[in-house]
Order: sequence, then C-alpha cells, then structure tokens
Amino acid sequence: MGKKRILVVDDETSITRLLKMNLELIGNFEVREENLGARVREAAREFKPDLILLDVMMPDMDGGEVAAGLKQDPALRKTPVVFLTAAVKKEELGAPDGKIGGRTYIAKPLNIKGVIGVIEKTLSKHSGASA
Amino acid sequence: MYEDSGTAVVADLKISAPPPGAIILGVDFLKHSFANARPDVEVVLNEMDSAARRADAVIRGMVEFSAYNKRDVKDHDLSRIVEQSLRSVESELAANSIRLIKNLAPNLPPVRLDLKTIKHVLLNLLTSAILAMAGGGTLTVRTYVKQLSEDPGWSGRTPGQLKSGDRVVVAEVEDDAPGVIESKLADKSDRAFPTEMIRKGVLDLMVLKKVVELYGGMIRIINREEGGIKVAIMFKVQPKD
Repeated sequence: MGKKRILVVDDETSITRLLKMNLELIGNFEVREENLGARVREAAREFKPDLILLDVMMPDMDGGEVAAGLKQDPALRKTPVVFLTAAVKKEELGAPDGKIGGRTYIAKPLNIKGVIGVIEKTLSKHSGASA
Repeated sequence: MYEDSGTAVVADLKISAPPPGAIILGVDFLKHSFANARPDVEVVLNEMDSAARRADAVIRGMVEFSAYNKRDVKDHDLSRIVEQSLRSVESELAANSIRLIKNLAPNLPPVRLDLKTIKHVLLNLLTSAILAMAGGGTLTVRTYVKQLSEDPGWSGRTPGQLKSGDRVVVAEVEDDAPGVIESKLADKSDRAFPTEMIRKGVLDLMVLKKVVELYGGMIRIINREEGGIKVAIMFKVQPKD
C-alpha cells in the first residue's frame, strides 16, 4: 500500500518540520508542510493530501476559516481535516475520537503516537465512508 | 499595575519563547531514532519530555490568565465566589458520581480580589479534583476565617504577603482520589508512592500560585495521608474603614 499523504499546517515552522520528520520516520506517510493559512488551498490542490492536519489559531487566517474554504472547493471538500489546538486540553477531549461538535481535534502539545493514532483512525473511517 | 506587568511578560513569551511543543516533538523523533541506543538515553529523553511539558503548562497557564487583562479589584465574599464556581461544575459532579460536601461560612469578611480571575483559579482546582475522581468520590469544599498562627512560609513567601497573626479567609477544595500532586508547592508525606500515582493539575500549580499572590494571597497544597489532595487558597481580610 502506498504512503498516505498528509498536509501539515501550522504557523510555527518548527512544529511543521518536526511533525513531518516524525510522521515520515514513524508512520507510513508522505508529508508536506504549509505555514500560511492563506496558502493551504493552493497547496492542497497541488499535493492532493489524504488528510490535512490544521492548526486552529494562525495569525493570518483562522483554521476554521481555512477549513470552510476547503469545504467549498469541489476537489478538496471530501479531504478529512483534523484540527490541532492549544485551546483545549487533553483532559477536555473526553470523547475517545477527540471530536467536539463534529470536528476532530488533537490537543497540543502534540504527542506523535497520539497524532498517528488519530490520523489512522480518521483515514480508516473516511475510506470506510467513501467505499 | 498587575495587568501591565503580567500582560507584557505574556506578550513577550508568546513572541520570543520557543514553543515547548517543538521540543516535545523533537524528543519523540530522537526516541525513535535512538530506540536501540544505550538504555539511559531513553531516561534522558523522558526527563527532557517531562520538562518541556511542564514548561508548556506554565506558558499555557500564563496565556490563559493574561486573557483577563482588565482586572476589577474590589471587596468580595469568598463564599459567594466558591458557590458560583460550584454551580459551573454541577453537571460534571453529577456525571462523575461525585458527592459534594459543602461547608461555606456565611457572612465572611471581605477580601480584595478580581472576581473573574479568582473564579478561574477555583474552577481549575475543582476541575482538577473532578478529573482525578472520574470514577466517583467525595469533593469537600469549605470556606472559613482563621488567624494565621504560624509563619506561612510554606510556598516561598514574598515580601508584603501574609504573615503570622494575619486574619485570612480560606477556601479549601479537598478530594479523595488516589495519587498525590507532584509539585514543589505540595507537602509530600513520607509515604512512598509509585510514579503512576502522581497526578498533574489542569493548570500548572506554579501559575495558580502566582495568580493568587497577585492579590496578596497564598496557596497551600497538601497530599492527604488518607489519600487525596487538599488545596487551600487564602486571602487577607480587609480591615474595616
């Protein structure tokens, strides 16, 4: 099975770089980084990710706004988005799937095993739903 | 005064501090890269991970409290603030089968503080206790007045703060969950405890301590011999005009 493509979006370059290195070392993923919310749509159209990890709070554009833009794009609207946020704590993500209001969140600080677990679960649900 | 210095520090932290999250991810990478290295490498990396998580909790706490940059410091009844905070966690208490024992003294003398900030401190303490008792337990909350009979230097008293003889209003949040609080602020009993019994607070206790101290108050954390944790926050009674 080919590597799944993950687009990682966060305004902190150190976070995206280390997420990429970790996901490529530990998981079976091909990762592209993006640090500007305004460029996510273009990057996603080009990279065609299987899943997008999207920071909620970015200085140029809020993650919710970026996600809304992706939903309006026919080529990207089915791409699952997992939000990365420091605004909720791990303890507050009570649901095992980390969902709040229908969206999947991962609480920062990120733990790579946890991130991979959520990616795999989301991808398997998504492939089941689209099959 | 409080908000100027506090907000400036937090603004500086947000701009110039490297995100501890990056250090944590870096440690993750090294752990996997050196999985077969000498065993003490993992010990070192785990220590680094733990230190970075602690730094992250401190920064997060400071950012969270800096949100209240318009402080409104006036005289308040601490029992009323505790009552209001308890109302906010009623559903969590019920959902987790936690019995509440409430013993709030009426007609407490006023203490001078910012309502929103201290309510936030109390909510953090209550939430932390509730999370620790997720399978059920007893939460005891009380308020009372007392005169300090000892020099309360237990958590590093700063000049101008509480001293022996001061009259204080105390709010206590006590739980009976297993585990002890790992913090420089906590009184550790002599009993040995395994690592898995060490609890973390929702917010870093150092942050709560600093916030309480902004109002001339103090925080004391006690690991109870019989199990559970008692946290007391206290503020000096305002003299009558």
